[in-house]
This record gives sequence, structure tokens and C-alpha cells, in this order.
Amino acid sequence: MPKKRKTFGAFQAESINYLLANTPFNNAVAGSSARSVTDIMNTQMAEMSSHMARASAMVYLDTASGYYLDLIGSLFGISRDAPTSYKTTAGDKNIKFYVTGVKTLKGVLGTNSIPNGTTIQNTSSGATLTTTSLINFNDTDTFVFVSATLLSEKSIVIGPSTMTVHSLGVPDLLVTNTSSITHSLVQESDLSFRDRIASASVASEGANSSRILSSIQQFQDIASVDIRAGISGSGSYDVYLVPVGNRISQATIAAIARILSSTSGFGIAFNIREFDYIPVKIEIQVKFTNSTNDSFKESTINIAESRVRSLIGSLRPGDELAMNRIISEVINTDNSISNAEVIFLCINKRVQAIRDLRLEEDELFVPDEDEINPIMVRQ
Amino acid sequence: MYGNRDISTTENGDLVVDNGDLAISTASESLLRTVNFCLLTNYSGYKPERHFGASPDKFIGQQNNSNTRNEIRLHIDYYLKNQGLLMGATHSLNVVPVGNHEIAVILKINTLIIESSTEASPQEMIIAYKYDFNNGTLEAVA
Repeated sequence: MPKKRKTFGAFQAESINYLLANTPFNNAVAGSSARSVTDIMNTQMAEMSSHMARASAMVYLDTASGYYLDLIGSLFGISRDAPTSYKTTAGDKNIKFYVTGVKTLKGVLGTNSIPNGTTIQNTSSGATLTTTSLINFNDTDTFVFVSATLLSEKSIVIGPSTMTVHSLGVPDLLVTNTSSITHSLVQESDLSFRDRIASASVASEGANSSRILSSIQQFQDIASVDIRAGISGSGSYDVYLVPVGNRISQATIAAIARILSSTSGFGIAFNIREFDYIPVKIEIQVKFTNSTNDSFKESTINIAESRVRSLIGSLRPGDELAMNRIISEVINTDNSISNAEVIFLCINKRVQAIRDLRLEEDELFVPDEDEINPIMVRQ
Repeated sequence: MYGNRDISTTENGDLVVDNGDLAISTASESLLRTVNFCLLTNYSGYKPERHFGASPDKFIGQQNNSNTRNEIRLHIDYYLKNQGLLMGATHSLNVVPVGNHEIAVILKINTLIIESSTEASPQEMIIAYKYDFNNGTLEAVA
């Protein structure tokens, strides 16, 4: 238990009481010699007590902070997460260039590629993504996903469908982001790091599940982890990653593979499993009250679409997608919406009757990235 | 009535050692040293006790006239009373010019001093200080 700090006042009270009770010196007011001697000694004692209290607090995991917590972490081979800039790959299916109607990408661009260095912007926050490689596509393609990175000196969170301006200067070529973008420059807090060290202290006993969990908990796009032993045979384990939102980035999966290969014991095989992503497309028809103007309707529709995306992103394996929840999310967007109805439902590329759907234990819903607008709210 | 006793010190403030032990002062010496220390310390200039000190250091550079002298007298009187050092004693303060830039501060304390070794008797103590307007310091006069 950390040693409690004793103040100058506490030392003084003890010293003076002792002097008065046990010595002939009974002039202990400020200005007396006896008081001056205790003042000098107890100033030093209080300072030493402060140092001792701090030093003793810094050796315990539940009270250590900052640099001292970093030192404790280093005993278990883990370090505080440093802020990283946002990166996405084409495989993440987030940044999408597309065309509408009967046009093709080649038809509007005149070439079969999106060049490296193309910028994509969010008009409201000013955030800019830059493509990081040349992306080729076929003559008949109507959409393509690209790799990009965000360079910003401040932390930004951008919602889906908001990166809509690009630098290619072709009006018929559209761009969007299918999921939200989180660019965090905040260093890991003491609380979170302390939690990981606590797990690591258990994990240090060997290649057990705590060690695997503590190694994976640091990634921001992973909500939770499900470890299942023996699924791929004896001496193996499968790690199911539950994403924050709709998908886990490929960079995260590659990093986890590196971590697990060093965490797992000799002769132990592991598999990193993502859940089966079930593409979903939904159309919801809304009615507004008569007094609502057109520009307000448009912004309300955008917010409603974002709320439905969030609802779908929050569903976990085994959860149910209830149509009433979708309707309720849309109606609760704003008082100007008087009614809402799901009029089209397409699951796994198949049109379905409008009904509630339950996910299997290894499934997750994602908005269908092959569609221009998989979550559509309209009048 | 005053009977508190302190660790004995010399006039320079050094501790007095008697047969290997700290010597015990008389009650009057204890009162004298305490008042002396208070008057020679700037208010809030003593780190362990912020509300301590009665030295008239803020009058540095001021003219040596009757107004200033009266202000110095009120200043010392106010802070001495505030410290609670003279509880149960009556005292009077006089400030008189002794040079172009110097004044004498004379403090008279009337109190019943109780000494364990002698019988109690009323006693008058007079302490004199010299104040220099050029450097704002108070000095005890032997």
C-alpha cells in the first residue's frame, strides 16, 4: 500500500505537542527558538515525506502514473500506444470512387486508373485524405475502392458518406467513404495502459488467453475478441475479431498476425477469423410534416441514414435486426418526420420480404459496399 | 503574566549548550528573544509561518518626518498585537528621530514574569531598535 504523505502541519503538531509534554520548553509560538528548530526540521521532513509518498505511489500499479507507469509496462514488454495517423487500404472498402446511371469509370475519367496522390476532402471539417497508390480498374467498372492516408495535426472523427470532394476535376466522378474515419492523436491514457499492464502481468505466466487478449486490446477498431480453442484441430486456437463499426482494417489484421506469432507458444497454430460479413441494403421511406422546407429535409435525411448505419454497425453476432428499431431510429431523428416505413430489404444480394433478421453466431451485417447508397432514406 | 520558557540562545541567535544539553532560557529572556525575532522579520518573510513578522521594511526610502514615524509606530503595534506574543502584557511604543535617516523604536513591556527559580514579580522590559530609512532594516540596540 502506498505510504500516505504527512504534511508540515502534522509534523509540527506532533513536535510541539511532544515538546510541551516532555520538555521544559513551553514557549512554542512562532518566533521562539524551539519553534524555529522544529520549523527547520519539519520543513525538511515534510518534503521528504512528500518524496516518499510519491515514490511509494509510483511503485504500485494502481497508483503509478506517467513515466513510472511506462517503466512498469516495460517490465512486461509492453509500451504505451503512440498516436497513429489514419490509413485505409482498398481491401478495407472504405473510400469509394463511383459513377451513377449508365456511365462507367473509364467513360468519365478517360483512363483505367485513379492516380496516386489524388486528394479527397470533407467540406465541413477540412480533413484531407490522399490516395497512396495507383488503383487500376476494368473498362466496365462503375466503382472502385482506393487506399488512402489522412495527414492532420489534430484528432478528427468523420462520419460515413462525408468525404465527398475529390481533386480529379471530373464532375461525373463521385467519391464517398462507406464507414466512419477516426484519426486520433491522443496518447493512450494511464487508465487504459494500467488495464493492459494488469492483463499482461497475468499473461506473463505463459501463452494463455489473457496474454492474447492484452496484446489485441490496443487496436482502436476492435471492440472485443472471441478466442475459441481447438476449432482447427488440437494445438490450435481461432481468434474472432469483433470490429468497432462495420469492418476491421487490413493493417490491424496484419499487425495482430505479427503479435500472435510472437505470443503463441512453439507448435501452437492460430487463425485470425473475421466474422462473415453479410451485405445489407435497406430503403426507408419517410413522410415529413407539411411545414418542413426542402433543405432541412435533405439534412434530416442524411442524419437519419447515419443513424441507421450506426445501428447496423452496433449489432453483434447473434443480435437481431428488427425493422421496428430501424423505423424508430429514423422517426427519432427529428420531429419533422411524421412517419417511416422500410420498403426494400436486400440481404446478401438477395431481395427479402420485410421482416426481422437474426444474425448467426459468426455473422455481422455491413452496408453493401457494392451499392452506391446501401442505406437509403427517401421521401 | 508570562511564564513560557524557551531554548536559550545568545544575542546572535546561536543555541546555548550546557553540559551537552540545550540550555533553558528564563521566561523574560524567552519573551525578549521572541519579540526580537518578530520585529526583525518582514511580515510573511518567514517561510514556515506566513502570518508572522512585524518589521517596518516597507518604509524604505521615505522621509524621516512625524507622519512617517507615526505610521511606523502604528505598523509595528498592529503586527505585534496580531502575532499574539504579548497576550496578557501591556506595552507602549515610542518612535523618535536620532539622525537624518535614522529613528529609534523603543518598546516597553509591562508584565508579570513567572520564573520557576524566583518568586513572581511585575517587571518592565525595554527593548530599543534603530531603523535606517536608507536600507529599511531594523537593528536591535544592545
